[in-house]
Amino acid sequence: MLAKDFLTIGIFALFGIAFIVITLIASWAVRPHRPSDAKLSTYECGEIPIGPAWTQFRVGYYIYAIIFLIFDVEAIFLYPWAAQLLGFKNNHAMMVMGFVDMVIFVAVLSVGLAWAWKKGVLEWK
Amino acid sequence: MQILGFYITGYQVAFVILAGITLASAAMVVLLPNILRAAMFLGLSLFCTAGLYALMNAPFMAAVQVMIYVGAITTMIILAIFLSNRVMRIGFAQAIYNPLLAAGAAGLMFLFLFLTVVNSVWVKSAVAAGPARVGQDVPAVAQALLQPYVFPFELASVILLAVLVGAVVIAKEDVDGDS
Amino acid sequence: MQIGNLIFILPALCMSVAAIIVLLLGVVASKRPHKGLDYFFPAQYAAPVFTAIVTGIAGWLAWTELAAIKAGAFTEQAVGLFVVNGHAQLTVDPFAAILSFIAFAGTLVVMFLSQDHFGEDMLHKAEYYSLLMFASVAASLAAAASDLIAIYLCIEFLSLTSYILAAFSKTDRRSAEAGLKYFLYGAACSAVMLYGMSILFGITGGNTALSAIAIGFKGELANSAAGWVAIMFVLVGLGFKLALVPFHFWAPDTYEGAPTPVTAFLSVVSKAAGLAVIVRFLTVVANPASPASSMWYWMLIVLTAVTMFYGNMVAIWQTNIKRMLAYSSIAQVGYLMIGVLTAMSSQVVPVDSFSAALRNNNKGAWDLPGVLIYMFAYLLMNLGAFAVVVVVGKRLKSEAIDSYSGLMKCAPFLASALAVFLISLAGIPPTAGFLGKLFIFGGAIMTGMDRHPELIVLAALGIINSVISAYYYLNVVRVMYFGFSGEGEAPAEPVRGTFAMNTVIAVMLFLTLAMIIFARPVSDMASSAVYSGLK
Repeated sequence: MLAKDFLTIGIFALFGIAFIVITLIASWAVRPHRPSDAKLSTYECGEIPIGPAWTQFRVGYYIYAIIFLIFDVEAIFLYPWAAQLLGFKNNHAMMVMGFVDMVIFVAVLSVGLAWAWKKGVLEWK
Repeated sequence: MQILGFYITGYQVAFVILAGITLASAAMVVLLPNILRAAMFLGLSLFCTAGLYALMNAPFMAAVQVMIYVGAITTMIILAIFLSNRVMRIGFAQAIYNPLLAAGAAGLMFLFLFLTVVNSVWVKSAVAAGPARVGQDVPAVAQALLQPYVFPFELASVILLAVLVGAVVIAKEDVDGDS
Repeated sequence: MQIGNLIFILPALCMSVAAIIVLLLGVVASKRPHKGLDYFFPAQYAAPVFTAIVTGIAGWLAWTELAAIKAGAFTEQAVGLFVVNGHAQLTVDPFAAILSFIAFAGTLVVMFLSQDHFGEDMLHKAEYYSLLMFASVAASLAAAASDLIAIYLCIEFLSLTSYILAAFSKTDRRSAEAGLKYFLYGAACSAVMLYGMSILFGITGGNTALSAIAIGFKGELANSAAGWVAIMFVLVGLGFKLALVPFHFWAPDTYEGAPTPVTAFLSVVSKAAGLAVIVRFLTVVANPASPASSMWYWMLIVLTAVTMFYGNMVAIWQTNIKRMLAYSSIAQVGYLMIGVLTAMSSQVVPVDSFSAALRNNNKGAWDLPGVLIYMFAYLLMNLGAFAVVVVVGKRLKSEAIDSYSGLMKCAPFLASALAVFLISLAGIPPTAGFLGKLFIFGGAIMTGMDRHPELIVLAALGIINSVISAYYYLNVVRVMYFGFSGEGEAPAEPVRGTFAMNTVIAVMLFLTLAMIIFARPVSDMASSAVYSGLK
């Protein structure tokens, strides 16, 4: 049963979460509690923080995120194809067709990448 | 294991836990006033859905769920929240204008679907039961993509291209007026 | 599958390649003005050229299929693509081929409209035309889709490109609102449709092809609660694309806010695709062996009646011509749905394919040929009306009906063309719209006399609605000829379209008027597309 494999992951995750929670609780119980202005300010590796952390982001980040998402989805399609293509060893027609299918798929998406490159959206202005 | 006279398997325990977290975090998405926290709970809800897929012997679907929905979509939603200039204002809340009406509508919908599920004839078939063979879901997906569903597969690449172009054009800042 | 069968989707394949070429044309030489490829062959000219070629191919394909029918060489299996276990995912029968031709022809006209509307200095023009071409690919594939996955992907492809096109005027707040509203309603409806499809997939034992589902979806299953829910949920998604009444909320704001050429596209091409899918879905899967017992048949009858009344009643009060055409196009879909429902009610036994559904139909029935004829007439008259709205709107900077006051004096050609298109939309003879309505209402009455009296009621309601719609269509004509509130102030400068626009308008004007002369060959063609030769 496959779900048993996930039992390992489940137990691992459980221990991971428990470790963090226990550490936080333990340090909260043990540490002294004497706040001051300097201690309460945001820790920025010694820099003095300016303004709140919740600020408006530039839209440029979003374009990167969109392009990432598209190619993330492409990777999803690539994985089972790559895992299975050699499984068609005995069926050459199928193998060639599968290969051609993926070449077309990747070529169409590369057009997207080439377009984005030439369009200049990958440059940070 | 036997609890209160019922035999309970580990599978069922895992299902109840995962389904419980999925539903609870989905409810939090709707109920929390702060939209950023709602987005975080959406991520949790989607992650637990991945767990449910794994329980249904579909680890590939679970991986896809984590990669696309938890990894990319939730990030996109949170980014989109930070793109809005309202993030800097204090009243950054989601609006629920009429909670009673919304709850009533959702409840009716649930009742409707529940009665449908209970009152229908469900045909069990070999295909509908899915690949029961352990660890066979990746080859099954690949086989389906390459043989019967090659048209949707190729169409998907064209759709992704069009969507990439459209989304970038809509989101792009047109400062220097390049065409 | 046989590679040779790909010729049936040749127009869509060519169009996809052309769309990619146009997309790349826009970025090839954008850094060097007046030197690069995009100067000599810019996207706004490349796109119509490619689209015209593809429209030609699509027309040739439809024509050859019709000729093959006449020769008796046509079977449904022959036009099936991506066949799995004998069930095709795409079925390019003449019905689909003609609707796909309509989609490409409509896109071609929309491109001319776009040239005029956006002009030379449009921002991201290569992307705009490329997306328009992708949208037409989606529409033409949707016309042939006969598999749940193909249907969903085509509809979603069309929707996604449409959302972007509706929001394309980035400096215009209303355009952004149009895109966002369309997107939010569209996303919700497509989620519901997908849920319905997943139920259909589940209860019929894991089939996605419509013909395979039809085999399993009969009797007890079709009348089970899950069967009802599945069909209704799928109809929600298709109803959204068609803007049928409970799912029409997006339409007025989107139509008004979107750039006018995009509005024209949404009201014609996108609806042709939705119509093709709903016809296939209703006649194959959801065909009621006994319509009287089927809830969704009656539900659709009521929705169709409500759609017609709602669209017309609200259109009367509009002062913006785009918004008026938006509401009127809601009503127009109601007329088309009468034809679809007539085709659906003609089924007496469950079928497993579209051609089987047609075989059971009366050979001489007018319903589906009527839908094809009306769709083509609607393409001509609605795009014609939008063409005039684009020209006038650009010159007068206004879309208010008031501003058309006295247009007859300063732009006699445009005003008389618009008058003919509006008269045709109202269904007054001797126009294309009249011919379409004659077939649809006539078909409904003929089938109604036979065994379904509810269709006669529906046809009567359609005729009443045509009379109501004549009121507001002719009101625009009155304003153009006699001025608003009788004053007749002509705009200061004469309003003239470009040569290209005048040609486009003239061609559509000619076809709108000439269709009635060629009524016989047109109706023969439409009914042989639908019926004859199917074995």
